[in-house]
Amino acid sequence: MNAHTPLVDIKNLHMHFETKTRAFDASSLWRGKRFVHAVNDVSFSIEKGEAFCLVGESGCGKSTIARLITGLERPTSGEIHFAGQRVDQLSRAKQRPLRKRMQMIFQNPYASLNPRMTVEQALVEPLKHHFPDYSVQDIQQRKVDIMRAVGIDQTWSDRYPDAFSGGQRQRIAIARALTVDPEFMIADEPISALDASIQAQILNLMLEAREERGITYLFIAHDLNVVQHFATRVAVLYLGSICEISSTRSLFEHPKHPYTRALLSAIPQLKDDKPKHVRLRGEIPTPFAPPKGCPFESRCVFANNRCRHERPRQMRQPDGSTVACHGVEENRLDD
Amino acid sequence: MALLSVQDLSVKFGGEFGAVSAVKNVSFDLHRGERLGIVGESGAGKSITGFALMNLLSAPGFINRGKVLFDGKDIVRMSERQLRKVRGNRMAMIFQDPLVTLNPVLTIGQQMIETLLAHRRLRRDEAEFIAIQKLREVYISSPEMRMSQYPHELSGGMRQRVIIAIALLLDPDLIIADEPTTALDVTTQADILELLLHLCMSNNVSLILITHDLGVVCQLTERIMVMYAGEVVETGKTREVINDPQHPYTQGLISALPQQTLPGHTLKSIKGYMPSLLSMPSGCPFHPRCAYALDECREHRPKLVHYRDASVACHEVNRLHQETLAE
Repeated sequence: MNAHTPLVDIKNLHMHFETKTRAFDASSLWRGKRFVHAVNDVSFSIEKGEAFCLVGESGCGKSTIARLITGLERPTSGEIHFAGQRVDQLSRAKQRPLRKRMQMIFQNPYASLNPRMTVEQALVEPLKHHFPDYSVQDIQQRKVDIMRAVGIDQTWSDRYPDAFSGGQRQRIAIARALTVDPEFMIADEPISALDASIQAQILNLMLEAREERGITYLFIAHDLNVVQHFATRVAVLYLGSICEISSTRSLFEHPKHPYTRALLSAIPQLKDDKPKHVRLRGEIPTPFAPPKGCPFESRCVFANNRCRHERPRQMRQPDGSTVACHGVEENRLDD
Repeated sequence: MALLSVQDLSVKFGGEFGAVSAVKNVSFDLHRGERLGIVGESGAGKSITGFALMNLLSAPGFINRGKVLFDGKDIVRMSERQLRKVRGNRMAMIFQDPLVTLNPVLTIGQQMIETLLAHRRLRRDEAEFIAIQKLREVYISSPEMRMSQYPHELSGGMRQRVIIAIALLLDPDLIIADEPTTALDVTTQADILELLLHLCMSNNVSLILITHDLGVVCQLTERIMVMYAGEVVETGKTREVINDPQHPYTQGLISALPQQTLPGHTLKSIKGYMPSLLSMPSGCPFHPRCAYALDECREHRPKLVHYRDASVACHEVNRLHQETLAE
């Protein structure tokens, strides 16, 4: 291993889900088992202090990648390294110390908070679990500090999650994740369920945690305006594969992959000067039978014979981004 | 005459704590072919307003006061029989989740033909012809084949296209679309919005678009109505309101968007949360969250004051306006 180790390093990750076949489905009787190719040969690394963002539309595999990194699922193949240690094959017991170092927040805080636990209990439980040698005073002190940091009123302590609005609950979920002082936080659509005025509050809270505690983020989102604001680097996913990895700035100023361009042009804007909407052909293919060549081939206006048969590899670009597109490689996409 | 004229509409919900007001004194006119956006956060009363316009509220909700004049006739006072002639026929509604709107055990064709036969004297094959034509209008590929498919066999974007086709079946004058693209991916959303705009413009259909997404409103509508805690706080031409919002809530809503701040900088958020209907603050409903709130705002509810093309419910805006007039 060289001297420099990224905090998270993911190599050739694959995740295939087996599905139960339907007895009356003639086509599946032949094949027996069917597989959903949720994640296909995904590699990327996240440096310490980054806010790395995965974007893509529903079904592109972004949440599956998050679940694989946290060890909630095991990959079909590939490697996941966290702080230099390979973590994808660890037993549950061996995973436990890692849980303290990586935390996750989800889209729906009502589903992730236990409805039968008060705010106090929800915040104290992870502390007791991960710091068994803490005294009662230590735990209380830490709880009070966190509550103050994320703007939770002390009077909330004895109330249950159903007494709070969505934004307040997400605050509690973030506080709970921060109690164990993690280095790495995976946020899966943390603000998509919230109202605009509340989204800003929560996003500010997460930015603050990054600045003050040096937390590294894997941020999953579909709202590109939010991504542009929060991320330092972005990976664009389509049908389980990465199209483009780029610094946020160069992604938004010079999107290269045709899918990235379509995605950016689709954001509803307040101003008139939005780029012309790049319309995609057809519908997203089923993940049961992803195209053989480039996954985006069936919807891409630039697709040619090579795209239909040969899977593009990630190629490094002059500005440091990597793009998987034959068209970009051959320099035949008009701008 | 306006196609739709809403006058002083109020909606209440009865409950164990007595009736609470969910929508208060909403008034607006909508002309033929005009597109209006109703914007607000969850709980602002925008969906309830949409339902009330169709007189579709179910208990415990009820229209407490006001008129909804559609083509001069008051929908609030119509019998079920009269309502059936208007709903679906002359005004249609599109909802957020197409899976809930479509019947899962009927094919697309059955649902469309059923709707047509319920409202028009048609032969089955005529109805089928119209249905296929409407599916083609919303750019559904091979519509003949789709007619025999069930909703679960279609993608989310395709289902929403079917919903739009059903809404258009009887050539309505007004479409009320409640968060029509919120459940869709951005690229699909862009297609659906384009389609809606195109259909409204080419058929001179009026549109009421209910959404929380200011970007979507900007793309589709000419006029905007901003709601907060059941009340209209600002109306005006969409572009003017977005570029130069008057009400502090509208200002806050727009400047809280991430694209309004440099990447990585602290966003301008609105402090606090929207009040619950059960414990509305005195005076202006926005005053606990407003940076400009004065004693007057805490004591008296501001009236919606009309200016040239716009109206704003804010003491401060009104005062500034009076001052400029005096000069």
